[in-house]
Amino acid sequence: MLQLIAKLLKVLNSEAEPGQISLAFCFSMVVGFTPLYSIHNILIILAVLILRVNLSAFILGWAFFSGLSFAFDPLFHSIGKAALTSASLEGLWTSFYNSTLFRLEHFNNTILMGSLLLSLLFFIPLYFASNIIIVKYRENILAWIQKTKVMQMFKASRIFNYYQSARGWGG
Amino acid sequence: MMKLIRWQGLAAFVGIWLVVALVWIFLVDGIVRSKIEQYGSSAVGAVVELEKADVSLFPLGLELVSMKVANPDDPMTNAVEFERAVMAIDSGKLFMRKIIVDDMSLVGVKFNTPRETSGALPEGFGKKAKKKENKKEKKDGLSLPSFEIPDARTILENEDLETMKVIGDLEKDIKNARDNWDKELLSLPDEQKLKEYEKRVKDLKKSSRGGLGGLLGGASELSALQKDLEKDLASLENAGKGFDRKLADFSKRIAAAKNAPENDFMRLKEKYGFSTQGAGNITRLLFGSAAGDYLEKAIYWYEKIEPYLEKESGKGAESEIVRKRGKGEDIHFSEREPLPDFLIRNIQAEVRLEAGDLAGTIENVTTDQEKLGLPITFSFSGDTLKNLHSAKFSGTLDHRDSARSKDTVFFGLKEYRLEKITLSDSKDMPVSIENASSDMTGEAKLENDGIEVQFAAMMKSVTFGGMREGSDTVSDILISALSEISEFTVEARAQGTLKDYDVSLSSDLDNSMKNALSKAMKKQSARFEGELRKGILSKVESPMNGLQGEYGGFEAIGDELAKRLETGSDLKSLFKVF
Repeated sequence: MLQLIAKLLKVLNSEAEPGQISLAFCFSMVVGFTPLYSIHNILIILAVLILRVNLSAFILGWAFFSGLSFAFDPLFHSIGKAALTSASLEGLWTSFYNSTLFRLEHFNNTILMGSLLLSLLFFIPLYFASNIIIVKYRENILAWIQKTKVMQMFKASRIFNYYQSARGWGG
Repeated sequence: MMKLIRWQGLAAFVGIWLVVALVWIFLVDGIVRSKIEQYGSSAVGAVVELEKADVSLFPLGLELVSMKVANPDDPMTNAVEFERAVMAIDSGKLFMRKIIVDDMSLVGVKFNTPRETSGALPEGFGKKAKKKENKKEKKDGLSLPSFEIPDARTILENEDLETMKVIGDLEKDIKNARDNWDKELLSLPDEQKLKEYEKRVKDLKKSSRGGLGGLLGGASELSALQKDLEKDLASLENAGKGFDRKLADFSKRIAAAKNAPENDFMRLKEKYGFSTQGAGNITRLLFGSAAGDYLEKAIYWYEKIEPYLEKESGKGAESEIVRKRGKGEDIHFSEREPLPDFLIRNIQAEVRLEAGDLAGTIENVTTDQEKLGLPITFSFSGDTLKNLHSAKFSGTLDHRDSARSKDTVFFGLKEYRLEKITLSDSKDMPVSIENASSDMTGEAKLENDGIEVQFAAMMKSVTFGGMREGSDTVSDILISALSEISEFTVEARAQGTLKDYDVSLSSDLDNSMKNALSKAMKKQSARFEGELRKGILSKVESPMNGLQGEYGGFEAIGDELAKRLETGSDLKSLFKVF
């Protein structure tokens, strides 16, 4: 059982480069903000599984951004409504509306549109910001955490030993 | 490139979707079934049960087996149920979030079937079923007044006869007059006095033989005597004239008194006799309640389906921003092929009634007729029905413009065999149709809230039942009269609004009943009239005889006067000798 958990931890933490973690956060923001049962989320999950992004970060980020979305729903609705009722984009939306794929995507829903626009808008800034934060964290804070008593106790535990041995098996 | 791709992830993704597909294949039928039951129960306000749902992918379709929708107002009855429904769903439109069914077949539709368990929803589940309101105060059916054949004896005991008063007054007047005239006679010269005139004349004749002196003296006395006689005769004549006037008056009054019993008879006959007026409303009495009930039932079911005929309008209303995750507002744009979100273009249905099966079609079933541009139409017919030669129902529910909605329904039943139909369960007049054959047609129109219904039925080979025997009440006479009627027509008309309408009924039954009642009651009337007349005459016989007696006595005074006058007139001739 502990071996199983260790293997899972290994998979989850296998891609540990800052870029991989940041990309995971960006994808999780899109999935977390937008309604789960949307077509684009299937593509994002496929991308997360196929591309070498950090799964732990994705899962954590998903939980975080999902929680945040409840507070941002009115903002999403306002942005979505403004976009969908914009006269200059009506032609585009009308052609989307008559397209099966986009109707399946339910793009004409204000919350979906608003959350998708906002998450796409913040995708790249979040990537770079996350990168900087992760590098700074590793340089300054990680070493301090490694020295704390809690960490020392954890390192002495069996689960950590299993994790360490599994980590060495590749990835 | 290969370093960027995590093949295990691809395998996991494919694996996840395989699992999802397998789960869907095994569970989708159950999920669809429970969703239909859940949303259906919520929409109807009563339990919706579905035995089985079968989703097919290629082509996309759905089969529902044994669906029962409970009646929210009568939980132990199913409002409707069907054995099987098979539909083909347009998959392209489904991806565009529209449920478009091109063809659907509905087999074994039944109404009002009993349930084994209650179809009421638990507290707090779905919308509450509204209690059926008795919107229209049921006007009590007409009741026939109590038409018992009256007893002449009892009537005469309780009623004062005008004749008796007339006789009494007249008798009293005659008696008073007789007394007065008796006194008058005493003051008038009588036979004795008049005879004295004769004696005095004879005496004068004797005395005049003694010479001229005797002759002259006798003539002056005779002249005085003659004057006295003439004076007495004049008084007798005057009295006679006065008496004759009085007698004539009494004679007239007696003639009137002899007519008084007939007047009393007519008055009492009018008061206690029979009228055919009540029979003129027999149609309303027999059919009014049923007509009202059927119409109320039809309106009740129409109001059940009416909310689904029009899409809820959001015009003028602010859309609610729902804070629930994934909700929001759907903004709609122009469609190349505008279609409602839900549409069944054609339903082939088979309805099972007690009488037999009806087959028909329903077209363009949708909650958004405005978008579709077509009304809902339906047409059903059947001609292999028990107790019914043929039946047709058709109609249109046009709600394309919610401000000017128009619903019409037509129906026709040919040779509909009626058996043991209770028309009246009144204890005064229980009536049922034991059997009859009828042709019925009807048309109902509903424009906005105004309703207009017309119905006509031709009833043939009618046998009425439920009659009692052995009673002489007029209600039994009416029932007996009904038994002579084998054919009649009934027309009903209702106008007003759904909440307040008036039903008017007419039938040639009313005239037939009036005529039959007149005929039937003639016999009863003759018996009553005979008894009444006999009773009146019997009651006035003795007083009338008394009156005649008094009048006879009064007449005798006239005879006496005439006799005296005759005697006096005869005496005049005595004076001529001189």
